[in-house]
Amino acid sequence: MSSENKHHNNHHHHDNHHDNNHHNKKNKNVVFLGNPNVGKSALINAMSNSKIKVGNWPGVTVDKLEANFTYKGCELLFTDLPGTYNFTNEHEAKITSEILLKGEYDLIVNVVDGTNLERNLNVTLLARELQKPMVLALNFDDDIVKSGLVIDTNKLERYLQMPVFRTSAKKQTGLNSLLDYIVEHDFSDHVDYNIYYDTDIDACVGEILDILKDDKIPEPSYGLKFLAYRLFEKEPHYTELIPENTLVKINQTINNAKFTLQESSASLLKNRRYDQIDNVLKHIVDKKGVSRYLATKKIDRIVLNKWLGLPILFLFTIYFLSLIFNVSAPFIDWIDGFINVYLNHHIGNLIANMPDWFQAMILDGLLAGVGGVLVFAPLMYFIYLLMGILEESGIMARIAFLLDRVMRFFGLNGKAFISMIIGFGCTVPAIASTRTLGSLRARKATSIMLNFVSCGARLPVYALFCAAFFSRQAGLVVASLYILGILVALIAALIVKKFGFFNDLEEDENFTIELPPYRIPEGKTLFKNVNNKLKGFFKRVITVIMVVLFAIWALSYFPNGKQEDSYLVKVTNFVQPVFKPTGFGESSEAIAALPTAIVAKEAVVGTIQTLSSVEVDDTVDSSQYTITGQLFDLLNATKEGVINIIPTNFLSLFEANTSDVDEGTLNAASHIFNGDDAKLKAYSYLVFILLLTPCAVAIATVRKEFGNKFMIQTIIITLLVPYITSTLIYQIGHLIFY
Amino acid sequence: MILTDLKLGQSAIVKKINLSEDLTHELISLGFSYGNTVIYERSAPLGDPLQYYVAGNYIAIRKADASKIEVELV
Repeated sequence: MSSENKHHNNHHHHDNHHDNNHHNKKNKNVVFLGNPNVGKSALINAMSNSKIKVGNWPGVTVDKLEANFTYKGCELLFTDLPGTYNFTNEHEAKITSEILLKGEYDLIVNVVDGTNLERNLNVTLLARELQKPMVLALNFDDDIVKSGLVIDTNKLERYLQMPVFRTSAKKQTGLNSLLDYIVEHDFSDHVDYNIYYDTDIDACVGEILDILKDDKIPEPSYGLKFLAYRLFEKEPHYTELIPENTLVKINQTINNAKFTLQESSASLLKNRRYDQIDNVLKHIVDKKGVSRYLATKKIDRIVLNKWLGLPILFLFTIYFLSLIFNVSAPFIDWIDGFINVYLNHHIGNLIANMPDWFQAMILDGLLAGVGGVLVFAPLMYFIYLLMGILEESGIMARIAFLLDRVMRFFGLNGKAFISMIIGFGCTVPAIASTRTLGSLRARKATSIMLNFVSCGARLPVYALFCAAFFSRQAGLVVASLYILGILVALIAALIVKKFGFFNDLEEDENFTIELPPYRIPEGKTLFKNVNNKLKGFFKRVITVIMVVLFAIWALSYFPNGKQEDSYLVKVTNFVQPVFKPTGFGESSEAIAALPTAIVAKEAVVGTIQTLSSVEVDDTVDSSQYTITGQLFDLLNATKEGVINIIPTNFLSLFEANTSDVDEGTLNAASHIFNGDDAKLKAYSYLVFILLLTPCAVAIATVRKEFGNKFMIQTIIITLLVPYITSTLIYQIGHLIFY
Repeated sequence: MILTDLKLGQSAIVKKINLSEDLTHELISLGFSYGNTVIYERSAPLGDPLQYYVAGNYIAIRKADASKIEVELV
């Protein structure tokens, strides 16, 4: 290796001292490249002192993690490229390769899992062909040490011709040396890595390079050398950039080269890279450590076992669901009290002198509406948190592995099951979670299914009507609704598969998944991500929901402030005949509540309460009006939440909490449906609520993820399906029971 | 011989991948490169997908794809 020393810090002494302003840029753009699960975001988060932010890559819905901060007077922008194994055109790899090829950055920090070099260095060797300034971060240094693995960093530097830093986000080691290196160096000098495959290949690529130069092909942002390698691999994306006559010469060169090939020329370099890595590792790894899969192997022997695997997954799923509901429930109650009692009371006092319509708008429109959605923030928080843990710990990949065969029957892959579990908590993060599914077809199909999976916000509605109509069979009715939701979701998936909807969408579908070693998630990054996601949720509540809520409120208030004369009720009366076949066509309150159900399912309860004009005297403990009282309640909620982490009663899971339903609302609800078949009408109505368009936030999420057209398709489907299903249930039920 | 012919715990060397270019590319970068050793670890409870140990990692692929990978026993 002749050029082994010319790589990094030859020039660092001089540009460090004089002329810092001229030679050394004051702001630097650094991209972080690496396989998935190598701890890139945790590293960026630790280096930037938790400045990491989540955004979106333009045009796609892959999270973009960035950190912008100043270190020793230098302004740094760190970008976390989506984890990738290669530079293909597949979903996430595409973003990474596009950014890398554009070359608008000063330095590539290639993060590798030090305990998994054989696979990780593959991307390193490929990225080196870009001839851009690059450093290697040998991450999980603490794990390397723990496993007993001995890596000769100096030798690795010489082989790769780039500086190598040993880092650990967990132990906070090596971070400052890497930062110092980034700040102190000027990366504008041309780098020239000596790329070596074998004599024949190198000679051939050299000839291609000469042809490119002779034919005066303009140098692309990623350099002629990189182009030469890709042309050698005959990659269509690059060959189409080259004029015909040049391409002919190049292909002649390749054909004339005397390879003894068992592999196609396209995969030749990829295969050779592995040979090189093997060779390098032989020299730099002095002592093999204990396998990083040691503990993982033992756990997997049980949880992926042929007989135990699925039963364990079943128990785990139930526990997971009970965690989401039971841990967040006390907090939901607390926020509910905080907004509807504490804030309502104090804001009410504050604006007591304002006109009536203004008070109504603030208290009933704004506070009640936004509050109704915000109560779900704890639920959302725990879903995001548990999701993060599933993803980072390696459990998610196992679930996908276990259930891929089942989900494939429905035209989906194993990962779709996870979205469904989340959907029982809340449809919004569930739709966002379809991002991990890969193909757009699978994402859309899963998103359609998720509308029918019964989310947590539908429970209060079940609770109300069960208390009013099905006191004895309440548990049975709720369970049947959950099952019906799953059935409709699966039927929807089958229909999508059978008729090939969304099939015009390019990608071929395959399922390759890495089962990484189990790892305890890095806390700081995990919570940072959860907070970022929750912020996104609040943003949506404030923008989309407020507008819709105001509109609904205005419709139910104007023209004269009496609900029974409002535009909402007028419209309701007009559409009533349409709902006749479903059985609940005569109940104007039930129908008037439907638009609010589209805004937020649980709003049905409030609507029915107000529309029926039953005065409810809330007995409120006056301590709830004081901030100390509120803090005390929060403390209790936290205590209860923590206790609920321990599984005590799985059966309570689908139990709609009927004891919470207050007397007045119950009374109001029981008058909505009349006649002999009141129960059947109520059930038909619950089915309608179950299958109806989930809520405004979910729809906004669908739009954000898939665009306007798919949003409209979703709305149409989620209006037709409940209508048809409720009609069938009512009509068939009528034939059988009455 | 193809990858799905392996018995539990048996290892073999990757010879050739007869799949679409994209998937081949993906599999190579996951470790299924020419000459690399692959060990068959287990199948999922329902018989599919299959879990292999390759290039220091556990990778699961579907049976249909595995049957398109030619291997040679060590």
